[in-house]
Amino acid sequence: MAQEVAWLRALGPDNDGSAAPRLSEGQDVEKQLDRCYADAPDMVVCGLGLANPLEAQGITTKWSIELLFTPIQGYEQAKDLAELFARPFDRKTRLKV
Amino acid sequence: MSPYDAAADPQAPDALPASGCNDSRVIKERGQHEVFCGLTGIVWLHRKIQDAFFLVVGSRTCAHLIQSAAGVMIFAEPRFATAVMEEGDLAGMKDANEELDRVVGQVLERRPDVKMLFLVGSCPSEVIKLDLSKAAERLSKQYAPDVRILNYSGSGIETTFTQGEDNCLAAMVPDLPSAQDTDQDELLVVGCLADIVEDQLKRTFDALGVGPVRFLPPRSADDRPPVGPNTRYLLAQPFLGETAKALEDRGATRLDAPFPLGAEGTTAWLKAAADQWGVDAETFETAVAPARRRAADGRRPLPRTAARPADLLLPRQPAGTAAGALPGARVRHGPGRGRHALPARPAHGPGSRLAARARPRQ
Repeated sequence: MAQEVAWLRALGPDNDGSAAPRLSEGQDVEKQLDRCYADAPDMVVCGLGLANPLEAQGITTKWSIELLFTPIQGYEQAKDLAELFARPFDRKTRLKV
Repeated sequence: MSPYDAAADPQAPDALPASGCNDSRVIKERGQHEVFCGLTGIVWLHRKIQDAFFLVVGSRTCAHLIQSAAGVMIFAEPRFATAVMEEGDLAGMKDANEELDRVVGQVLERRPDVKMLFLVGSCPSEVIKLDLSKAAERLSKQYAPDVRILNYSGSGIETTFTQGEDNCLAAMVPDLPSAQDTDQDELLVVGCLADIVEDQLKRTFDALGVGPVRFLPPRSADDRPPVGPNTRYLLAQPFLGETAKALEDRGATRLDAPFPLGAEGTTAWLKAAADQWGVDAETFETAVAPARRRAADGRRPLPRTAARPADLLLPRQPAGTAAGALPGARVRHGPGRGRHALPARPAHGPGSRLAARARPRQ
């Protein structure tokens, strides 16, 4: 994913890498959640096991498995791919508890 | 998992700018996982390879995971099953290999349409050190040339989630036919793609004059792509390190590209192949422009209420479509779902401890 990471780093102001994603090899779920709470992201893309508890805490989530079950590659699917990430936001603005 | 080795990672080439995956800013962690095991890959792989059968050698928990994740209806005869290991197997009181041979025999007798059978390792089979590669070798001899028998691990001890697909494809690579030794480059697109996506990409490559193009995994055992030193491969999924390594072992060369995601990613991905095939800029533009434009036209701003983040441009779900349904429900349901209306009967005899279960008990 070197090229994608390079693109993202170039997005930051002054190409200073401030827009770069933090990459992690392997996983330690507790530390991962600590970083997640500290960052307070707009959306968490994660497995089903984490999604429901995070949603319950008010964090918008997207199931990562949908990126496998949905055709997302190529031009014709570009819109679907963008929609995958937009739909949870859309849902959130429509649902009132 | 071994420590990250950038040198062995095809996605971390030497020419990487200081901003790649192999820099010191990458966090390395070994802790509790909160992800599915590699068995999950069977859910999409069995739909893709339409004459393959995935026999998980595992526990009832494995069977339950696959069955509920795949969501195959009870009267459909799916092309996956779990050979359930029970106390006798785990305690070493039974000869697991003998029982495995018997179960494979039952599956193949029942499903003559199966041309490729994967023995899929799981946590329990790994714990008792059941050597599935030996078993696959032994069974291959018995069933060749009608059925190819391969093995890989989808165990949660060794793999997470998409690593199952990586292991499955890597297991197929040594079994691929050798490409003819010519100067003609052949393009291999690696990674499980929906058939519809494959067809679209194929049409684009045809328009570019890039070819011959083959896909891994193939749709059927007969369609296994040849591989050799003239193979140039493009990764379509970002998690195929082992497969890439196996392909390089067969002499194939990776085309350095981002992944075909979104308009920009797709353009750069296609461009990598076009450059290798010496396609001129004008031809490239003519071939990709209409589709690229359609991808761009499809985007318009979200209504104000839903626009967050503000720079995400896309249409709202049109009224009347199933906004809540998993998009996956639309596709990947080829004939490969295995809707063979065979009568329901147990796949195992009475008293069997290693019972093939092609359907859930509940």
